[in-house]
Amino acid sequence: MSAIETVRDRYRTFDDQRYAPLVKGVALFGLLAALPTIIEIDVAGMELAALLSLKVLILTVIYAYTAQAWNIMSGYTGQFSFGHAAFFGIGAYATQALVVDAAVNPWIGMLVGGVLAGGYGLIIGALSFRFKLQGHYFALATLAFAELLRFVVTNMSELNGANGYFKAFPRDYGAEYGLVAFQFQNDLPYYYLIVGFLLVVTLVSWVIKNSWVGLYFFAIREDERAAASVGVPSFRYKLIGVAVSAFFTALGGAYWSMYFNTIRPDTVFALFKNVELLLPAVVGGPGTLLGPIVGSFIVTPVSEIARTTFSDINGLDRIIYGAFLVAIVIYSPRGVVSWPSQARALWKRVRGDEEVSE
Amino acid sequence: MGHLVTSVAPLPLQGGGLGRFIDPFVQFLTDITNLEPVLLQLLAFGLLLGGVYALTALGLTMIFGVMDVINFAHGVFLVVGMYSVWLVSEMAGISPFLGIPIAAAVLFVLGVVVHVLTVEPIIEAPQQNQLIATLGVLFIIQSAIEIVFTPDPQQVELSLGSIQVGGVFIPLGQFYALVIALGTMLAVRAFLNRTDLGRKIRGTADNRDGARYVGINVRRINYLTFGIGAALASVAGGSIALFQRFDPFTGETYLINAFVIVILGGLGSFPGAFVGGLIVGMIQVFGGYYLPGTTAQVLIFLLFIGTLLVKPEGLFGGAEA
Amino acid sequence: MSADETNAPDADIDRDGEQILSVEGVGKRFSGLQALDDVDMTVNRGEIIGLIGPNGAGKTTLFNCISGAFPPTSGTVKLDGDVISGLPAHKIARAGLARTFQITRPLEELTVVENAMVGAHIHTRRRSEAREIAMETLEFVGLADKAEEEAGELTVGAQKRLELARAVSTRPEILLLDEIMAGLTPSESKQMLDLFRQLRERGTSLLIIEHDMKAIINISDYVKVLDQGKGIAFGAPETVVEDDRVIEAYIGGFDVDA
Ligand SMILES: Nc1ncnc2c1ncn2[C@@H]1O[C@H](COP(=O)(O)OP(=O)(O)OP(=O)(O)O)[C@@H](O)[C@H]1O
Ligand SMILES: [Mg+2]
Repeated sequence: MSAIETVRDRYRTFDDQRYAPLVKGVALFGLLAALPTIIEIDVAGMELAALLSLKVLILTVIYAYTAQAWNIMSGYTGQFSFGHAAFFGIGAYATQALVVDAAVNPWIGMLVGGVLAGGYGLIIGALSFRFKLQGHYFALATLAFAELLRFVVTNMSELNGANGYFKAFPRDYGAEYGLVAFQFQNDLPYYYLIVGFLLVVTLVSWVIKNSWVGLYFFAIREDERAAASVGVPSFRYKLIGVAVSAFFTALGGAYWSMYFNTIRPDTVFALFKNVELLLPAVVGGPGTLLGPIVGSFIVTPVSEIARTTFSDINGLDRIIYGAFLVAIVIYSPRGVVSWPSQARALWKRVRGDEEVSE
Repeated sequence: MGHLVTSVAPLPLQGGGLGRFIDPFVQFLTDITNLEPVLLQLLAFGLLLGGVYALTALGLTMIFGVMDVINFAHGVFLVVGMYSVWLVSEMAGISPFLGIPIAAAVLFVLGVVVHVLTVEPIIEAPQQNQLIATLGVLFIIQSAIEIVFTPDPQQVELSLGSIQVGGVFIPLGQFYALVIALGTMLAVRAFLNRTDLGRKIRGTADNRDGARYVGINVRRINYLTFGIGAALASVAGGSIALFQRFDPFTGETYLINAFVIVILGGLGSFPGAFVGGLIVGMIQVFGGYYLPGTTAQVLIFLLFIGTLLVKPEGLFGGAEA
Repeated sequence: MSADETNAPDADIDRDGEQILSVEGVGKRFSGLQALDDVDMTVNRGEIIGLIGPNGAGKTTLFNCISGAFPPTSGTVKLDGDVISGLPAHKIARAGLARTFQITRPLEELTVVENAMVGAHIHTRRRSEAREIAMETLEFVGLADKAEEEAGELTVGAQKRLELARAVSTRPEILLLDEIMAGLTPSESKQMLDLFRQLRERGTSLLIIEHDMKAIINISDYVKVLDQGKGIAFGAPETVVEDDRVIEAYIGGFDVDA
């Protein structure tokens, strides 16, 4: 037995244990927590931080988080949403409007945003599913609901129209810099906070995936009629998927609005935002737990590095984005996380052929 | 289309309150009962804009109808058309009117290439995959234009002026664009109805499997349709360039409105595209005049969503390509 | 049984047991086509009823109306005395009626056991319990060794058994099987007939669409015949296949000698 096979068998034995997911989760989030330190390690006179700043890490985890949230609806139940910017924007706007205009604590604003987004998701879902929109029509409808909000907000003087909001100082809503204020004076706590967000949404996603809810979601994605014939109330479960997904996406928007200084309809509700929110999940592997995270660590740093390295060439990051999109859906629609198992299958085939030919 | 109405005094932006929703309609009705001449002017602007909008939706509806693919790159094809016409007229000194057919030829080739590289390999895949692939194409082309030509707005140097017809003011650039739009639509219709290839395209739109069964090379129809769709986008883009400044991102607004028009008019329907274009054009012009800010766009999206839900087959239903 | 009173089922037949399913005057119209026209039939507890008829007779349409895939345009369907017509499919499944599809509909990217678990979750929200039920039914249909395989990769024969397993996992009172034996090898068909008998022994009633006349005569207590959307005969298998109208309906279809 070769060394590789021994390792593989050990891994399989480990994988069957009940504590395996816990160990993997701890390892993953341990790594995420250590990343800010890792990028500062000096290797042969080169710091990774020169390429991968803490800012890029934060952005990467934000998009891992939102993709994980998108995945709950679109990856699991198969209802492809092209309009998650609606929920993201609601979260950002609810938070800022309450903080700036009413001096409410941002955490409360965030929850309000989450609930509002969940409600908007339920409206979108109830209408689209009732009228049986599918495929293109569903994608276009979700996009329309997002674009609708962009123009509504742009035209509401109560929400400062096209100018949006400028983040308030903590003292303006009676708080000190820190967790309670949802504002920090440097980036490191922001990073840990978004890693915490990611942990929460990943846990929720894991729990869903490992309960009857997840199985119902997948059954709906695979074949709604077959699922219904064995008792799956697909309408209700699709709504649950939308609501949960919208809620968490809004929390991402709230975080965004507390990390960056300004929000405008053209940023948080942007057409392009819809793509940014779903892309990591598609690249990493829709419907998987790890896919959105892995996908974001591929897509976001690469386009950010392209943007900063070739800052005089505006738009290169989007070319890279575009190339990713095309390549992934053509060559690997199941995403990057499917590569190991596909390689294994290939390896088996190659070896199988050899055995036959011998 | 803010620039369209600047020549007619717009209403001041109203403040908050319900009045801002009611007042414009009251104003509109008052104008109608008073037979205000401004209505005629707005109608003319709506027609001019709507005709061009219809043309922007034509290629999209054709691709949608024939191969059931939503082409997100359609808007950026439009932009390539604009830049082609601009290049031809600025660099080579050729009239922009002649530039339009050149742009169409360029875009036909580009469309075929894009189709073969990105859409064809996944034509049988789930619909969202095609959507994502064409979206990728959108980003690549858009950013390539941005890198080569800078994000700054460009303009075709052309002073066509305007004419007055019975007190109605008509900018000639837009008028020619409308003429091109109508001409193109009639030509495409004749092509689809009269020529062998056109009939095959219609047959494929009606029934892909049936088309395959009677020996139509559906693969060929697909890439030709994609090429023609792209060429139509460039004609639309080229016509718009006759009267409007543009930048690499201009395509986005037109793309979204083209979706609305395609759905409103009915997937694959040419008369539908025309009527849909007129509806969207009229809402934008009248809304831009009577409603504050870009509220008209809100109306357009509400109409869009309503159509998707209640009558997804559109006003003109069926694949009539 | 005479052919004229066919739409008044069991008028002169003495059947044991209480009624579990009753179809009363069910009609279904597709734009322009009357696919079902005033069909009556009943299934009693513990019975195996065969449903036959030439291609396009409306058998699958009747299943769809009963199971809630779509509502009938007229008439009512009762399960255990309660009206179920008009209810959505998932509610009917939860009321104790399960079905299989003529063209199999595996949940392709799920494993075989997960397919069966979807059905089992009717009874429990706990994964482990659903898994137990699912494994039992996989044992029962003989798919236990393929439990962890992807459903989309199964052979035709295995897909049919999976179709059955998913439905049986809901532990239905009555099971509607749509040509589940079509495409099976003779030995697989024999196993399938065995499964039907065992299901009946467990108290499950069965309504079975099959074109294989031998199998139908072999397994059914009674046979209902549909033709062009109308019930044209009901009775014991041997009598029904000798009924003039049935023979007439089948002429040009396939042979009926059994
Ligand atoms: N969803 C539908 N829409 C329109 N017509 C339908 C639909 N389903 C069935 N039909 C038509 O209804 C008639 C009965 O079809 P059905 O599938 O019930 O026949 P069947 O008895 O199951 O035939 P087979 O033995 O071939 O399976 C056919 O003419 C069929 O074309
Ligand atoms: Mg059938």
